[in-house]
Amino acid sequence: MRGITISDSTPDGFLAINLIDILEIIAPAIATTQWQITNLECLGTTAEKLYQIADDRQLISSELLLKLVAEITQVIDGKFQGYLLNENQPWLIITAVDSSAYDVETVDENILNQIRQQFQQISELPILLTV
Amino acid sequence: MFTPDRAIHSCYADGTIVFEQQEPKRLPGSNRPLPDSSAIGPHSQLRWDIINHRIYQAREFDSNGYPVRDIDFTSPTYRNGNPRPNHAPPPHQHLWQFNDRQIGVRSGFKRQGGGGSPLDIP
Repeated sequence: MRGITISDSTPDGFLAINLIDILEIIAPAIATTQWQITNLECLGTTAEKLYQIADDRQLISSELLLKLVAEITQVIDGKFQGYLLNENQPWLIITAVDSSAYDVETVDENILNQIRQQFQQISELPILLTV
Repeated sequence: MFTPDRAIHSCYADGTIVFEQQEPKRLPGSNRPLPDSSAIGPHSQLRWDIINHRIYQAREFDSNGYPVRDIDFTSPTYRNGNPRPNHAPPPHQHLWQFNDRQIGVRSGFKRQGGGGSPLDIP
């Protein structure tokens, strides 16, 4: 699994992107993906619902994730692991890092290329041996 | 290269590690950070690390109950424990602002990113 970090920022020091921006770019590729959310801290009108899903360790569809995340104004922390049906290892992981960056890790290089084309501040993640 | 068998989330200034799935429970709030309802005036909320027996984070509120800043006593690492190059070392701070300064509190709040900044000590 390879990964990148996105850290596009506003001039006053706030992260310029939100999770919905990433998910919308890769929406066609994640249509059949199920998501598990952990270590979540976020703000927005659907935050409570997402907390409930994360705390209950529910798997949710990309459709529901997109719907809920569209109402989130900021993800401070959170790990979103995407699974294909009947797979026990995630094929895609999106991690919000301390309101400062998003890591995107995947086995699909096309996903990373799509994201590289959309954002400006991109760095490669070191090889991470532990999932 | 150090390759632990457990994923690392963050690290305190003394090198103590917080592993993934051992992050302390988040402070209260959903649409916005919630102040302590019993507090009178400016106050702080503490996020306690029950694994490492210390304060993980402090969140300061002003006299209106608006969040002012977070003080993080850890800094996030890569999963293998290596520090993130563009993140301030612990402890560091993240300031809070209105989403829209023209609208004010009705616009909600946002937390500064940029890897945090060194702690301002009054």
